[in-house]
Amino acid sequence: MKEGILKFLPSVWLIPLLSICLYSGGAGSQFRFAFFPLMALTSLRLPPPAILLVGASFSAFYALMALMGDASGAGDLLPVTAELTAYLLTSWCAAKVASFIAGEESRFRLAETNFQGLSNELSRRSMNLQATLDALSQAHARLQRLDSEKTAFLAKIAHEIRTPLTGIRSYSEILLSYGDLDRETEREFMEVIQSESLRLTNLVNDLLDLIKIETGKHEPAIGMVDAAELITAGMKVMQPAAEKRGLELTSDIPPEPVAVRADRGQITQVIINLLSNAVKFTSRGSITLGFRKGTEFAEFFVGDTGEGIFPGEEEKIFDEFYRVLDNVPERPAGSGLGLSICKKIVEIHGGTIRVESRIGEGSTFSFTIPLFNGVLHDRGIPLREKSRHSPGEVRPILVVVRNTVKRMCLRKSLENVGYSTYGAVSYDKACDLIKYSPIDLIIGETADDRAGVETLASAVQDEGTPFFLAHFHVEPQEDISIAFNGYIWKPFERNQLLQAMEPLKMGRKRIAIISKNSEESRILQMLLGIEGYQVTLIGNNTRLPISCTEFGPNAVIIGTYAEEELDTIISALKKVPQLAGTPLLLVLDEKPHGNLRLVSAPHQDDKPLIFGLSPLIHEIERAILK
Amino acid sequence: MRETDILVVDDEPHIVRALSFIFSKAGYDIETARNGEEAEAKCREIAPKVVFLDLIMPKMDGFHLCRQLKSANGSRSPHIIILTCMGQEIDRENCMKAGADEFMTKPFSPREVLERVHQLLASDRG
Repeated sequence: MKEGILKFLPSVWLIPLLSICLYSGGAGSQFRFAFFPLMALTSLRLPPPAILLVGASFSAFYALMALMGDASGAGDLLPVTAELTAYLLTSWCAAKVASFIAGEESRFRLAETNFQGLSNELSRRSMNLQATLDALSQAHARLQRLDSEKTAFLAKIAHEIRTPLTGIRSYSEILLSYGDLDRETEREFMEVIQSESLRLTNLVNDLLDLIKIETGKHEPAIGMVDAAELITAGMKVMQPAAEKRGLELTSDIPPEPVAVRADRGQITQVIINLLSNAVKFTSRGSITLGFRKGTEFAEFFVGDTGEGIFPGEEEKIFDEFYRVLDNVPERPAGSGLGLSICKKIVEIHGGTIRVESRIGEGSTFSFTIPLFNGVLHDRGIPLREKSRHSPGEVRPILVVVRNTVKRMCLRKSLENVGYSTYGAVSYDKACDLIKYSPIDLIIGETADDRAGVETLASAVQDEGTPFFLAHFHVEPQEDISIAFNGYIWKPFERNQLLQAMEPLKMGRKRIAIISKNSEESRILQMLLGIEGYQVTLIGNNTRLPISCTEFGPNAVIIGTYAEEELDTIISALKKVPQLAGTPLLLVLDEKPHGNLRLVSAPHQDDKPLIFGLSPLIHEIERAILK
Repeated sequence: MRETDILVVDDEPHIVRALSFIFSKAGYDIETARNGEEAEAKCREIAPKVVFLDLIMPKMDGFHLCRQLKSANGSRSPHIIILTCMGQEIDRENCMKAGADEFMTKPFSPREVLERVHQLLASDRG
């Protein structure tokens, strides 16, 4: 503000000075008008107080002139000066208003532009919202459909569970309330209870399989598999059933190895399911398991000479619990889930499944899975008897596998060819273990515990310890037969138990059970007791060898124990000379399937997939020697 | 026409066998059928007093047969007891609409089933 006043002060004082000069210079009244423009020019950019000041100075000057007697000029000039001052004030105001308007206008323009931008933004957002809304309502509809499908599925499950339950409940009540049944009827009813509970068990198992596949919790362990192995595995399981029904079961094994991308266990299950359906629905004729190699896919097919499927049923038979009803004289027992499980498995593998059928002529089920683009190892790499390393030369291999039996299988297999091993039940445990024990190589199970895998991998990175991740399936009789002579698995069934006891046929019937699980031991005791075995329960304690010697069993069943406990039990049993040659049977939590086939992928992606135990050992040797 | 006490209609042989067993033990005359069509033919032949009916069966389902038996025979139609695995309320309502006298779900207790038959047949006599 002060600066502003200083700026115009000179021009304010210039005007009266100029007028005084002009007047006293004798220029006379004709010059009086000459300095108006000058004054106007000087004052135009001045603020109103300055203009007033200028006007007042002139007026005062001329009033002074008039008093001094020269009234002529002053009388003319006074109104002009006042007029000019007013004019200047007005134009100043007008300029001020104009500039205010211009300012407001530009602000308005800016606001308008902003508004336009906002409005564009709004319409864009509203479009986004609409899209989101559409997606949401679609998702909602899909969820609603899924929900009602789920409800329908649950109702179906309840229905399917009730049927076998009805048999079990009504026959057990009959057995309990009618005391006068003859032995034959009694037996018949008990057999119904048994077969219906078996049916219930199968249903529950199939349901669990289906849930596992659906929730994706058990991702398939897809690796490179030779198609011939899948075919052979399926044939091995189904041949006896086909023979029993007088059917000819033939297969078509490709002469050259054909690598397919498959989870061995799952695809074998598909083949077995299809073959088992074919056997069920064919009363005479033959069943063929065939194979065709395409450019990108391999096709397996199961053809039968059975009843065939009515047109229109071809799609439905893959639905859960759908059963062909009308053309089968005796409805075969089944969960009604087999084909939907097959379909799910095949689809997860990226393939398709379909059926072609003619009533009275038979059906052909076929499914495809992708070929594996890579080199397949030779079918029969001979397993070397012993590793070329002498003891002490190579430090142990660490095996990280959660499942005890799987872990033992792998460890025993490796120990069998001369390696020493450590076992760890989890990646956490493995991380602890490597701190204290030198390890040369790690074989870990591909697990859900990605973080654990990463931690272990980074912990051993500096040492350069090779780290293999593996998927594998186990059929223990081949590989831990060193320790055990047989297996029984839960839920226990009479036939399965008797089969396990087969070697004891010769009237030797004393069985020792070592178990810490009272339920497991009670059921075994009961089942074996009914069959006339003399059973005794022995605890895993220091008295174990003595108890065993006293009882003198013809077979020993070892219940479910952790691996370390199993090791101590086995070494305790080995110290009892009387037990030499006595079969040891191990209880497994579930039925084993597949071989101990390592379908293993080394940690790095560029390396070849390992397939089978001997290629794995080959890979281990290479990794260690490097 | 021969009069029979009970006709059991179910496609599960075990269930037919269990029901036949308890009813014969209790001294009733009993006939069986494995599907709706067979049951309809038998009904014309033997005029049962009580029909035990499963719902889901090949050829003709239980609803259909129930409606048919009730409309064809009027007041002389047999008592119909639905014995099914479908335990939802809507199933019960549908069965009652179709004219069923009783709705029982599987798994059933043989004793309860027997009591129900006793009651129905006693009410006929009374």
